[in-house]
Amino acid sequence: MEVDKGKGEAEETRKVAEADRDTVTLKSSDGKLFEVSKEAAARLSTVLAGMIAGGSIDDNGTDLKQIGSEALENVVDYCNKHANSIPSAALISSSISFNTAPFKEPEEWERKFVDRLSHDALFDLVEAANFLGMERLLDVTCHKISEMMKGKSPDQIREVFNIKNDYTKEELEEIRQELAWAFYDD
Amino acid sequence: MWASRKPWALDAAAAAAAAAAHRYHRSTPPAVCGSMVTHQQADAGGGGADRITDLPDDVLHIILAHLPTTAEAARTSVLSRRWRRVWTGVPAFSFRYDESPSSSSAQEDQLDRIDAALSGHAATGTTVERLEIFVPFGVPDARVARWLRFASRRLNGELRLVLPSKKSKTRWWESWDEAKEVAIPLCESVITSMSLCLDRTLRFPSHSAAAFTALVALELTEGDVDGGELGSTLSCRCPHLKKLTLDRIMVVTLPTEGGGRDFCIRSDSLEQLKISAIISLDGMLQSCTGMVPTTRTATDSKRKHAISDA
Repeated sequence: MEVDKGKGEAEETRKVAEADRDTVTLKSSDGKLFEVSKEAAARLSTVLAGMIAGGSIDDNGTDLKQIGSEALENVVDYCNKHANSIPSAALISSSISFNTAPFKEPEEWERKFVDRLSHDALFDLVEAANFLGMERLLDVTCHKISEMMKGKSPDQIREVFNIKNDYTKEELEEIRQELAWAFYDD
Repeated sequence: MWASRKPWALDAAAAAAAAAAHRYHRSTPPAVCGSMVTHQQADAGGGGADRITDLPDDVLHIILAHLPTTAEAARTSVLSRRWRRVWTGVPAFSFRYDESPSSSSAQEDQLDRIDAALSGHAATGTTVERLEIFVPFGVPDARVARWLRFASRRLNGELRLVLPSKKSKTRWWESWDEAKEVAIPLCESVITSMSLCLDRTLRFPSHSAAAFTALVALELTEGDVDGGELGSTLSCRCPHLKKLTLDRIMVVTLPTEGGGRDFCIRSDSLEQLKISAIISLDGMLQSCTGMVPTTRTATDSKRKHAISDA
């Protein structure tokens, strides 16, 4: 299947009307329509791949009731950017490599893509990627969240993510003793 | 990395005080208000709803797996009750000590922590997909053997054990400590890739019938091996090995019963061979560097990679 490599942002994609058969139309929870390359959608999302293969794609807009328009726009934008980027050696290397990280590091453009997101938009995108079975996008967004935790104290992490501490003082002490190897202070 | 600061060493009372001092709303959680934070960068956080706690465990595991060490992931257990055991679902263990502590007792403490974490996990009986240990100072043989034993029983994936020496990279063979030795246990588990930089003699016991049946990639760095032992292990016990790297390895070959002196690997599966090693033959040293991308042909399914003493 021929993919138009020249396509850019989500806005442009929506204007391309003639490529009907090469795209799928997705509908956000708030009723907005987005078009994305069928090839990219099938390659990047296991859920969309299943829907395309199973013929459950609606030409008038496949309902994705769990995903808001902002998150869906980001998903579509990511798919288009991914289709246009040249995969680096890191992305296409086989599973027999010795990587120091359990996951492949994000590409520069992926980093920029998640860096510009607001706190809520980032979490909306994590949920959308998880819902659509987009392994790579989930990985990239989770990597961003882990960077927001890295090197921080539990208090600092609670503050960044608004986590409510519902432990008692005694319970906290108990955990610190059980996991003393993780709470060292040398 | 975090040795200079000890933010987690705060006691609970100080923690509560710090929380109250910040925008930390215990009694009145702020309303969900997307538009309020729309233009903030994600890092700014704060002020909104707790979005992370409601994510499914699978997703939290991915987030925690991205943290540099297992200790950092384990420390999330104090965030809230929801987080108590989330980290234990991360199927990877990573212990990295980039700087070596000055005193030997502090070094012992660091190694004890690794053992405590591993034995804590061993009690759960679950398998690990990845074990990585990086320690830049001397580790006693018994500890290395214990880690390898853990890997041979619990690991279902990738092992990376890096205990580098401080030797010069160009004249590394001159200061070998031959007294240090460790046996590589053949596996009850499913190790698919193994990278060992152990700075000691590696033994591959031949008495056991077990094999590295799942091993696809093997990288040995800094150490010495018996050519016959390694050759027979690679030829007979690694049926799926595709990638072999020997880097700064001393391969000692002794005359065999048949009169041969080759370090010889026969493999049907090997696709890539990288060698930067010293082959010692009867006291003669021979340096060997090379990379052999092997190709499969229908007629030549048996291949022999031999470094002869000619």
